[in-house]
Order: sequence, then structure tokens, then C-alpha cells
Amino acid sequence: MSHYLNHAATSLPRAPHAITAMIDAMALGSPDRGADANAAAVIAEARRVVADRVGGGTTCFTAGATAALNLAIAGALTLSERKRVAHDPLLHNASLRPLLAHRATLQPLPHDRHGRIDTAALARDFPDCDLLVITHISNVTGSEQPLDAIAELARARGVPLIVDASQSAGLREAIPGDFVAFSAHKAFAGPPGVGALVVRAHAPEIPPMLHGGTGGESAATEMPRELPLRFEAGTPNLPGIAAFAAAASAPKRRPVARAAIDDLCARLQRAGASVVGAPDAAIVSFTITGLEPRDVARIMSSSFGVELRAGLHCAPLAHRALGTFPSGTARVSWNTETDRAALDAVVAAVGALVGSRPGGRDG
Amino acid sequence: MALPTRHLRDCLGGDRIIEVTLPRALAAADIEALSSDHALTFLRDLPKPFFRADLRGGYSMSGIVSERTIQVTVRLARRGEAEVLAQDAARRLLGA
Repeated sequence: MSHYLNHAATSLPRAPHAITAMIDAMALGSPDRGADANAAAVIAEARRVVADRVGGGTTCFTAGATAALNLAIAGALTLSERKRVAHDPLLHNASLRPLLAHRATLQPLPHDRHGRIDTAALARDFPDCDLLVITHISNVTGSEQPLDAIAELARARGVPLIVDASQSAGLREAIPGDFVAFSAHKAFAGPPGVGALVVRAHAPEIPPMLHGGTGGESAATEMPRELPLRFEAGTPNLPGIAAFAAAASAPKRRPVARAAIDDLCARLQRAGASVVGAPDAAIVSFTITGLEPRDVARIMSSSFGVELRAGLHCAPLAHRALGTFPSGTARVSWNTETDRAALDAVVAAVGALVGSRPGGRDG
Repeated sequence: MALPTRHLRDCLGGDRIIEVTLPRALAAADIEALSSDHALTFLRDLPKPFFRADLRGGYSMSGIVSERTIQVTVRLARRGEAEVLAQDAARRLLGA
């Protein structure tokens, strides 16, 4: 029996009603601005449902969180010549690479040893920056940034805030920020290849990344100013969007309780692993002395039927900050539907692995 | 004759990982026969024994007893030679 513990990458199994919605949407006509009223209604409802899950705003559909972050970052960086960007130390490459590609000057915010931003220090000494980019919940450590406080400080100083909510959307409500980016396939258990950038009314106007047909104002030479059309050139991914909405409108999945997260961390430590960071969500990274994380993952799979993820998790900055670069960590990620037996299996496997090392438990 | 290989994607810092398919399943004796100048980790007590051998020159191989594939990891500096090094690692393992 295999235990799937890689929900931070993709939540499985996918929501059954999302699969049904995707198939049903394949039978609809073009949603292009009224050509099929049913298709247009599906998309309009999807915008409402998806935005509601993160606290409201205008939903602009994208090909995923990465596309949404690229759109927001590229656009926001056009607002200033200096391109000075302050960020959390646990950025995913979905944020880091577009920032570097657009030649932003990066400045990490003050943080503790687990990468959590020190809001008191931030309030005392807010950086001279043009943009804030924050990973709400780290995909490496599961630590959650104090986003409400950060957003308040940013708003008071007139600095736009882009939030990578890939690991929090669906689990946290009312996620603050001017631009909130996330995908369908993580906590929502929706399809891959579709996501959203939710834009708040107070967000600054930024240019689109894609230019093309919008099904209206066709004589205009530029993209329309109003959202969501401004960011949605081309034919929308109707089946993906319908499935995303179906997944997002399902009864809300509760976040894993703090006590359960702390319990797994404590059990892993007792079994001989070193937990990296201080998780607030059900994402726990660990290392085992004397073993490469990728070997840990391979052994977990082959000997114990536990499927987890190892490596840098596309977040090299995080590992540099946490001292786990370049080998990275092994990572367990789960949700409230995960069987207790799966977590027991991880702990037992870590214990067996530690005991089997050269030198055994003292190795 | 070259053994079949395929490149694996992994979330690591630039290493290249190549999976080599061996002509037969790996035996514990293959690992025990490896030259002592390799830094060898052999976890023989696991339900499926695992080994890693760090070879001189910036590459390593790892695998599981009774499986027919090994993984050869080539460090960033020698990525261009990855295929050659992967074949070399398999030859060393099988004593060919």
C-alpha cells in the first residue's frame, strides 16, 4: 500500500465534482463574451466563487500560480524605475525567477531563523522599496508569514503587495494583498494548469502580460483597461475554469490542526530526524544526518511505500536561508483527509532508516 | 554496448541525474564487490537494501537491491559528461 504525502505539490485524489465539471464544460460552446450564454455564466460564476475563497476581488484566470505571479510581478515592476523589491526569505522560483528576469533589486525582509518575517523590525525600519512580494505559506517549511501585519504596513506606506498564496488559498480566508496568486491543484484539489490572480480594488493598475483578442472592443489597438479582460487575452480555458470553480465551491476543507502538525514534528524528531523550520501548515521538511534527502525519499518509497518529495522544492533561497542548500530536505505534506496510518508510516520509516544508517542511531 | 539511460528531473541544485537500466537485477554481492576506494553507504537492513557510492570525480551512483535500475548523479561541473559517466558507473557496479 502506498501513502501519498506530496499534497504541497499536487493534492490527490482530485475533487470528483471537479472532474465532472470539467467533462460537462467540454460540451459547452465558446465562452467568448456571450457566444454561449451557458459558458459565459460558468465563467462568471467561477470568478465569484474563486475570489470569495480568498476574501474577494476580481478573479483573472491564468494558467496557474506561476503565470499569475509572472503577470503581477512583471506588471508591478513597470510602476517604478528603481525596481526595488522587498521579499520574504522563503520565495519560490515562481516569484524569484520573474523578479530576477525583470532585473529587480532584491532585499530580504528581516526574519527569524525559520524565515518568518519580524514585523516589529519591519515596522521600525520599513525598507525603501517599490514592491513587496510575500510567500504566504512556505512550500518548504510550512511556516506562515504574518500577512495581515505585513499588508497593513505596506498599505500605510503605499507599497503594492503581491502574495504567493499557492499553499494557503483554500485553507486560509481573507488573504490580504493587492494581488493574490494561486493555483487550482493544491488545497482545492482541482485541475492542474489553471490558476488565478485575484486583484483587489485598491491595487495599482498594471499592464497586461499577454495581448490579443478579448471578444470585444476589437477595433481598439490596445488591451481594454477593465479587469478581468485586461489580463485575459485569448480564449479562456473553460473546462479548467469550470473544474476550478467546482473544486473551490466544495465544502471547505479544514486546515490540519496545529496540534497534529506539532505532533508529527515531535514524532519525527524522536525518531531521529531534524525538522527544518517551524511549520504552521501541514508541510514538514526534515533531514536525516548522514543521508541525502533524495535518498531518504527513494528509500521511503521503495522500502516503506511512502511517497514524499525531496530536494530544493523549487525554492533555493529558502534553503540558503535555512542552511539546507544544496541538498535540500525531504518533505511530508498532507491534508485532513490523509489517513493517520500514512503519518505513522513516515515516522516508523524514519526510525527504521535512522537505525539502519552506518553507526545506527548514533550515526 | 551502451546500457539504456534516461534523464530524470529532480528538484536539485543543478546536478544531472541519469537512470541506467542494467542487464539484470542488482544483487547485494554487486555492491559488496565495489572497490574500497568508493565512499560506500549500504543500508542492507532495510526491507529493500539501498546503496550509494560516491565515486571520485564528482559523480555518484545509487540503487536498490533487486531492482534493475540505478541512478547516477553527476555534479554540475561535469554535466556535459553525464552520459559517459553513467555508463562508467554501471560498468564498475557490474564488474564489467
